[in-house]
Amino acid sequence: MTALMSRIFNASGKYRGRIAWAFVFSFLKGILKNAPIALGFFALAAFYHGTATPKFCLQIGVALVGMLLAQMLFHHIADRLQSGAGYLLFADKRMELGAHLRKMPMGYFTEGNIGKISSVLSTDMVFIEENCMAVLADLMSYLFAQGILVAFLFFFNVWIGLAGLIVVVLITLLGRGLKKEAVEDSHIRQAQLENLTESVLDFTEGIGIIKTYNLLGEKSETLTGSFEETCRASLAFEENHTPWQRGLNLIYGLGTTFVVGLSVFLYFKGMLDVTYLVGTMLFVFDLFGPLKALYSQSARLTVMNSCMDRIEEVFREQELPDTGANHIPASSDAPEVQFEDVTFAYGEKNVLQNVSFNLPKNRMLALVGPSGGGKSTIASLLARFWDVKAGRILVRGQNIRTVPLSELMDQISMVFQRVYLFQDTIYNNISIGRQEASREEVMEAAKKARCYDFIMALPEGFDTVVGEGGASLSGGEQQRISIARCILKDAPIVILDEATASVDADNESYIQEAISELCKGKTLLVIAHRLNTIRNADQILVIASGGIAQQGTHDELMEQAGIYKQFVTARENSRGWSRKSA
Amino acid sequence: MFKKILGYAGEYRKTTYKAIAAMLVGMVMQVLPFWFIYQIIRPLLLREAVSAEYVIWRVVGIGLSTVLYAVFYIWGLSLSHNAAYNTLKNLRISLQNKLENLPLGVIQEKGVGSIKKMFIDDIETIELPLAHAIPEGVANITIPVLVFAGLFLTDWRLALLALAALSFGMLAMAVMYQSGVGKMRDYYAASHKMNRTIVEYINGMEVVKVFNRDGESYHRYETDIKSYRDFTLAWYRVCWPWMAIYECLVPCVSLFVLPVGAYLVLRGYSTLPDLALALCMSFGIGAPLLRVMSFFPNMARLNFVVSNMEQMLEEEPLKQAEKPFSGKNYGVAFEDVHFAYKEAEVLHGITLEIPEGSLTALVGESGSGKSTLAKLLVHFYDVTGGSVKIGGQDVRDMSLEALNEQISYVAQEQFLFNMNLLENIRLGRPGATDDQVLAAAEKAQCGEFLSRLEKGIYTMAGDGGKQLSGGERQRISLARAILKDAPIVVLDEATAFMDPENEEKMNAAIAEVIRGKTVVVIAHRLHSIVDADQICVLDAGRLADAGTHDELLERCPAYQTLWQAAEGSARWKVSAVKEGETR
Repeated sequence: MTALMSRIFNASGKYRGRIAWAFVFSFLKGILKNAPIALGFFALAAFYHGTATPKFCLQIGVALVGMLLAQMLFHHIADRLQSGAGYLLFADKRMELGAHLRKMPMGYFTEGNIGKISSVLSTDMVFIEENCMAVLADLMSYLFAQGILVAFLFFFNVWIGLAGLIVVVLITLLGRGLKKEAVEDSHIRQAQLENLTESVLDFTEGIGIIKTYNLLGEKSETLTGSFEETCRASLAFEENHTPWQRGLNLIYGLGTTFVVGLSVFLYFKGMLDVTYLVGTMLFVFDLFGPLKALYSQSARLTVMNSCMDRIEEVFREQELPDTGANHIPASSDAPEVQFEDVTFAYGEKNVLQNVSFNLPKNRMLALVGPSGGGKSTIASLLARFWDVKAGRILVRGQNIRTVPLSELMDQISMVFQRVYLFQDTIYNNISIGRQEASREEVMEAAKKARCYDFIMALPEGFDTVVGEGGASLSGGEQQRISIARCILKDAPIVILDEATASVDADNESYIQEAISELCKGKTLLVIAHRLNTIRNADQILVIASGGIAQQGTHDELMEQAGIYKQFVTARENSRGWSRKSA
Repeated sequence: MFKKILGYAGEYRKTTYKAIAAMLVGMVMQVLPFWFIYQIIRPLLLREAVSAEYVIWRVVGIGLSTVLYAVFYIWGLSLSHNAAYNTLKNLRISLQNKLENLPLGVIQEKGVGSIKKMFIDDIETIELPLAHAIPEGVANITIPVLVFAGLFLTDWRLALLALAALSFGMLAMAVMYQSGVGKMRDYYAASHKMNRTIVEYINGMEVVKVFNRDGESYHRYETDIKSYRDFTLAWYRVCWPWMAIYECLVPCVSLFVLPVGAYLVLRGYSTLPDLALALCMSFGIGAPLLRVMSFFPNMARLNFVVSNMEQMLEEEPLKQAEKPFSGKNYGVAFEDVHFAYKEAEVLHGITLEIPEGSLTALVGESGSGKSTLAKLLVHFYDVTGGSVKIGGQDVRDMSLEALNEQISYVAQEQFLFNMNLLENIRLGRPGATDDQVLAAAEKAQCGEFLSRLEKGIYTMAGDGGKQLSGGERQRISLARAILKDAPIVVLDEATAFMDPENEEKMNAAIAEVIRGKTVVVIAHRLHSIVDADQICVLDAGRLADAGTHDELLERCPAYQTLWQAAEGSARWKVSAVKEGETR
């Protein structure tokens, strides 16, 4: 337990001081909380000895109110210090993580990672700031409170003190087991939850097939089965937990009884004064309260522990070094883009091996080849989505790792299948391409990207808000807006995934026109899927199994026997799927 | 208050009651020791002689009570967990049943994300309150009530004094909620805004970096995080003082009992043992009282979440009859079909005859209604007017199962279940032999990529499926449709372009799927369907014209426009060359 608490305490950085102070006030509050019991003891003792007077009653009353007020004050200060620190701390952590993410390679932002980061930022951090920080100092103060209570017992009588100490040790030993069990269970529970999520996703994503293939009976049973399994597994965990909980509660109870019994025994032996006996009796049920309260929080702390694991995991991801101080010249005799012996690996596995090519200014280079061959990887390396493992990539003779990332970005526009529009007006979504552009320039870019007409047909034209909760656009319309951005940006190098043109078959010709506008007078790197669209390329690289298998113009490649010629011939022989040809 | 959630408990309702009963016994056992302590203290205070036996029995009583407390409380907790998890299970199953009865179109509109959130995340949030709040809450409320009743029996003056302190605490809590409401709204707004910004910040990271806007985007992110922090702290600043007051006041039941009670004893209105008992009880109920405080908000939250989930699936179920298919043939007829998504009508009276064995293409710009029309045939939605018939039988006049046996719907979907590829294909006809499955896979052109996989057709779709491209997964789906061999095929032709690199394989597979069937194609590219027996041109929810390619090219302006665009697209080439420039 203390390990879990010190983990969050250590993560608190500059707020540690505040939390330490909070802990002092929590502790004071905890002592004052038991004040009524102490006063009750004095009152009963006074009556017992016959010294009680109305004035004494008043004094007790004043003392009680005074201590209550002080308790409130300390409670308030502790709250301000600790819960306040939680929100301050996690605001800092979120900003720190945001700054960290900014420096991550763009390739890191895959769908899976995006989901993971969002849940760290919005779920895990919220859980800790809301649920853990407010109790952290309390929990720490419990440890001290427990110590003080036992010390009290020693003050009454050594034997009673020893009895209390033994019980505390027993509780701690059992608590250790409980915590270990809880941490293990939290991992199993996590796995269980993942299984459940998987079956729900399997069912909902597959619902179209399930229904149209009349599989509802079987699949529906599978899902119900997994609900039942979850229920069974959750109950099994609770079962595992029950003996520990029962054990703890029994030790609290029997420990308390033991102390009561011992006090009575000592009283009868004449070793304990009657007022002390009464005093012990009054607070004996609170005797192990602090530890009880501490262990009742074990579930919360173990959840916190796994939240911390996930938070730290994201923080551990490697940033992309961006320390380059060189500059890309405005013009140069060197080729616009050069790959020199580029090797790249995801993890251990090399996906590109010694790739070299030159792309001169205002020329078009097309990458063709089977999927998984490495075409897209080449394109993402040029934009520094990742860094190469070996070799160099140069833009106008300058190694892209030696220039600031922002400067490289100024040189490149990218049109990929994945489009992201901000929840903002269409105007702002386009003008992100070049912030200082005039309204006319934005309109002009929209016209060139064949967006203007559909934008003007929207209720608020360019001021229509898109994205979640805003107007919904078709895939093709979103794609054209993203192309308008790039047209406005007007970067000299364009990386194009040609499949973008097929995103929306109904609007294919509009997207094609938009792409044609964007590509005019640029240096082009095209990832090609259909071969006829890149027939004009100045150079075609056939990429297969991480290397360049063939290169040349269309005509040159058609004269060689090889992958390219096979591709083209197969395509030409294909006459669509119409029934008459089948 | 718990009616709604207990409605899902079913047979476990009794378990919940048992849990409450067990916890009540537990709570009584928790309070009982105070009575024994009182009995021990009383003679001591009155300086009466006590026998060791008298005291020992009371100590034994205390021991027994605490043991019974541990036993009953934990037993109650187990029962309560049992009831809670089973209730959650029932809730999930009941939501599943509701979901299954919704029209497929409606389910797809809701989206996988929100359905997953409901089944997993939302239910997760009510797990703890359900397992603990109901039984413990009920027990925690009952104990103070019993104790106060006991106090009133002992001495009504002391009881009133105890209540007085409590009511001040309650008052502080009420004031806190009152004064915090406005700030709370700001807090929720700021929290919502921050979450939205976080999502946008992460999802848009790639874009902002490409356009060098990450500074600005980070600035917005920072601003929203700070404002969330500030609004939260502003809210808490209002609440903290009141929180401190009630959290200290509520458990301090002895606030008036002790001094005033002492005075009353002094004046002879009450007795010392009564005061001692009142004090013991006051000390004992502080903790349960504080726990009661969190009970009501928890219950409110529980109801809120459950109602939300119920509402989400509150839709008109699909109209269908428990009758088999009895159509005369496999021809399809749309008769004056109207359809509206929510309020807006998107199909305005479409009448169309599709003869058995013919190939009909639906063409039109996106949003013209061609996909919607096809979805009505497969009964993803109910029409809002008119009817859809197969062989003369209305699709609403047969069971969905009977309809599905007649139709294969080949969508852009490329979803595979987490089982091996062979079993994935076999779903098309569960009784099919392995050989039949393999034959279907061969026809769907899967042979080439299956041979590339280490375990071939026995590869699990879940892990190995990641090695398959979109088009390859699509071909597995086509194999499934080939195996199903239903007489009517509805085909979303965009399917063919999932995998441009293997277009010809896809084409061959599709040709197999439609061989000898009544075919309805939602066509996106006109070149594939020039040979269709009938091409229907849809324009803004109406049927503009229908005929063969040559007929339409001659007389239908809408079709001519579509054809020209298609011709242009087919010739399109990427080029870096500016106008007027040659190379």
